[in-house]
Amino acid sequence: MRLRRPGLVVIIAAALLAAACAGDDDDDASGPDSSDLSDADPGDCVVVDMAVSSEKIALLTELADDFNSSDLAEVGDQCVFVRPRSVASGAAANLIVDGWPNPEVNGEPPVIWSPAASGWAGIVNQRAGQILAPAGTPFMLTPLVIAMPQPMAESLGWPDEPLGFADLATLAENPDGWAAVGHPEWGPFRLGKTNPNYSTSGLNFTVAEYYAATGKRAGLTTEDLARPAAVDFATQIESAVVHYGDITMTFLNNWFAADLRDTALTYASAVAVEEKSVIDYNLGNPDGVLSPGEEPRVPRVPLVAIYPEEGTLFSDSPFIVLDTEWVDADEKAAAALFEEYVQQPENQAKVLEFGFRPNNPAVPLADPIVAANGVDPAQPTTELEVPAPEVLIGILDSWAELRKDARVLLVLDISGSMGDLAGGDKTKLDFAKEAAVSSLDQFKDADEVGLWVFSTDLGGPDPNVLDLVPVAPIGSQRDVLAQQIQNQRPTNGTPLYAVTEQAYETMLEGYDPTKINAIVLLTDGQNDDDEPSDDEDQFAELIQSLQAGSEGSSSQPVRLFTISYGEEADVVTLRAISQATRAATYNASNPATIEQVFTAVISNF
Amino acid sequence: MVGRRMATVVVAIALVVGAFFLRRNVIEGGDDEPDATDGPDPAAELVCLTELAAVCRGLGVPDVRIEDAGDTLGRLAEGDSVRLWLTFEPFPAMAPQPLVAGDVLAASELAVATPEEYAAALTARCADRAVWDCAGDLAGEQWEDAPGVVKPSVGDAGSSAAGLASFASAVAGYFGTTEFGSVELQDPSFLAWVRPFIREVPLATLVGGTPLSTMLVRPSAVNVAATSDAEIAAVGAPGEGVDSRYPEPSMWLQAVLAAPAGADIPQDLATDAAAALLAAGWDAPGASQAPLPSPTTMLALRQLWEDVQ
Repeated sequence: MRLRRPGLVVIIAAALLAAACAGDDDDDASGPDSSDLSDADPGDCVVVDMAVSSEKIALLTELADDFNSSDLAEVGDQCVFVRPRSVASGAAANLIVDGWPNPEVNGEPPVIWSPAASGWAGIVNQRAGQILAPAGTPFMLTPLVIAMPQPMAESLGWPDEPLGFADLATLAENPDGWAAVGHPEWGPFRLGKTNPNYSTSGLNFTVAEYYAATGKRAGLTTEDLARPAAVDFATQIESAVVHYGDITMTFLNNWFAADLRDTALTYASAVAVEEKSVIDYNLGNPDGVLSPGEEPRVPRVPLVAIYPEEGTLFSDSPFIVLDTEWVDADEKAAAALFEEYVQQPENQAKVLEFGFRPNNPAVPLADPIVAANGVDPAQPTTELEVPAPEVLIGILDSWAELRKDARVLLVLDISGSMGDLAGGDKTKLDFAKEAAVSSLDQFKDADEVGLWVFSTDLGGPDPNVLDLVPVAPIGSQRDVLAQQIQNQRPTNGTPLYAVTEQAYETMLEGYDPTKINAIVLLTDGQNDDDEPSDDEDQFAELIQSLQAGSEGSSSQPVRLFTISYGEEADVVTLRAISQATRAATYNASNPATIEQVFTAVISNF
Repeated sequence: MVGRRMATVVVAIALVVGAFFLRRNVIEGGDDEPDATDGPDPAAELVCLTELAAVCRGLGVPDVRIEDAGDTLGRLAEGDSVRLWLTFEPFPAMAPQPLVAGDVLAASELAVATPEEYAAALTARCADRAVWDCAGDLAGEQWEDAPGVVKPSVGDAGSSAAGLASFASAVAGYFGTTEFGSVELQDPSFLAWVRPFIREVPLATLVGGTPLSTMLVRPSAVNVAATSDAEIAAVGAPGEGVDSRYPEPSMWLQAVLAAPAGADIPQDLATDAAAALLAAGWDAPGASQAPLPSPTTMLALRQLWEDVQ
């Protein structure tokens, strides 16, 4: 068929190409990593399952692969097979406390847990009331930094002036935003920060935020967290947050995509990440993983690492051999062999290749930890103490109250295909409803949440959509939302493009600059509105509209998070939709994972 | 006939199973096979300090157990036995049933290391003062003429032999003498000095490492590190970027082999260990090498450390 407007071909092609180039399914937030060894056959070997934080899965997979094929992988007369799997630190912490349920969804329970930082072990032990995660030897190091586009950092005095959290708070508080330092074209100060319940950089940033608020470097107490000045300071910084999320890669990929369109400076002003991520970004590989055929592209605007003058924390990647009922003595002995292996100088040199700081002093800091990559090997000079576990938990509780409020519209697909059986006698819609209802508890009372469902021939004033619960504070309508979700039944088609556009326009009309404005769209199919002839036009117009609303210094960003549900979902289209609003797409191709995925999506708020 | 044969087979099987049962549960005591992570290994010929792991592994002894001094002392207190212990003086005498140490095999002087960019600042702040006494006073303060905060660490004196030795050295620096005991350790002024000194660097920062190794990868966590000549030689420092100095009063680690009273220390093993230590950067024993404090004082220091932690 012919398109009515030739320009649309370019828009569609560009959107789909950008979505495809953003990475394969494995790069989707919370998606499985197919490059790992988790599906490999270990034969009769002693299997050492590892749960490792996402930023080091590529490195540990390479090391495990080498180790498994070496003569060192033997305990007694049995071979050893190390099997790393990527699990976000906070998610793994919850799973360990819960006894690692549902291995078919969460992977096998690990023998070794290597979260990004040791603080998570304290949280696990505190929550479990026993030592399930004994102290582990650090494997490699990377400090928390504030990544900032170089021109922005320079406008604040970098590299001559030390910068820190106080500067962020000042910028966040100033209604003039960047205009206050002579750059109105950059708009308001926008901060990217992950959710501290799931992500180490989010946790470390929040800890550092409280330290900065109190002027302390050590000995943070639960009393400190309640001091009004500390709460005000943290609230001020959090008010600048673009959205949260479970992994920093979402921000880095979005920044990189914005950089391609030369709009990086209006997407985010600063993002809390680990130093390694700044290196990866500046080397043209923002998520640190090069998919087959992917070529690094040096960004137009490089990032620089700000080492906060108030101090920072290190992610130390401890190797923790778990003391749980599912770990036996042979597995512990096998784990010890791998731990020794990764500490060897030749393997610590690989750590450096991946942009981390080796923990073995025999391997000195060198390229890529150099100024040319936006980082400073002589920094940080001030380190903050990891708070006691009960204080860490207090920080998470306190953050849950003072984090930026959200204004979210849930848009659920109730098309006929959602009635397909997805496991036992449950349909895809059954699983989705359970997950959606369960996710409602993640919102705080002040968050505003509404519910739409969509299909075709729904019989209301708009045949494609039912506005079941208007967006309003969830504290007063949590039960109503749950009830309405439970009432849904599979119906007809999937008018994806029209409903997405409609939801976006509706949320834009009620845009609230003090909140995270977002849509969560779940669908299991492709656009199907009985009018296939105009699909391409619709899609191109949708992308154009989403991009126009999301870019520029005065934009009113409404983030559109999409969930590709089931095997038939149009993953590439959904990724393009999310990317156009600088949000993220989540992959739940296996309906059994939908609860996990919903949790990850709601972590953005 | 068939029934008798069957009965014979059953009896034979029962005897074989019974023999295995007897061997496993009576003759061998019924324990599972020991392993590195599952309690003590009673068959280990030689127990070595973690600090001496590399030397120990090179001695060709088939059954070696490497652990921190605190773990060995803890096991001895629970009634475990140790056949031979490669350790520092006076740790053998710190056991509830003291072990008997042989001759000193080799010695290494305790030292203090700093990143080179902090060396001048430390010298400027601590001119004419014992370095540990001064570093203790400065713990947690901003450096002058250097970035960040003064972060001194002696290691984990509760479990590590070198850590306790360095703690003794630091306390001697405060008192200006090695002649101190449990009475001096109760002095309020001393306690006011020692508490921030102990607490400035959390032990969690040092997991799996020594103060020197931590400082080399993370000077923001430790920038005044207790060490010894031997460790400096082992990690190749001071080289680029590391300054080292000897604290006053001088103290030396003295490596010994120890055994339970009445047991022999194999001479060939002692000779091999001494040679291995020398090859690893240790010095030959000498009369002028000041030892660590007495076992009683070391135990009091360890108790103090654990109380303050």
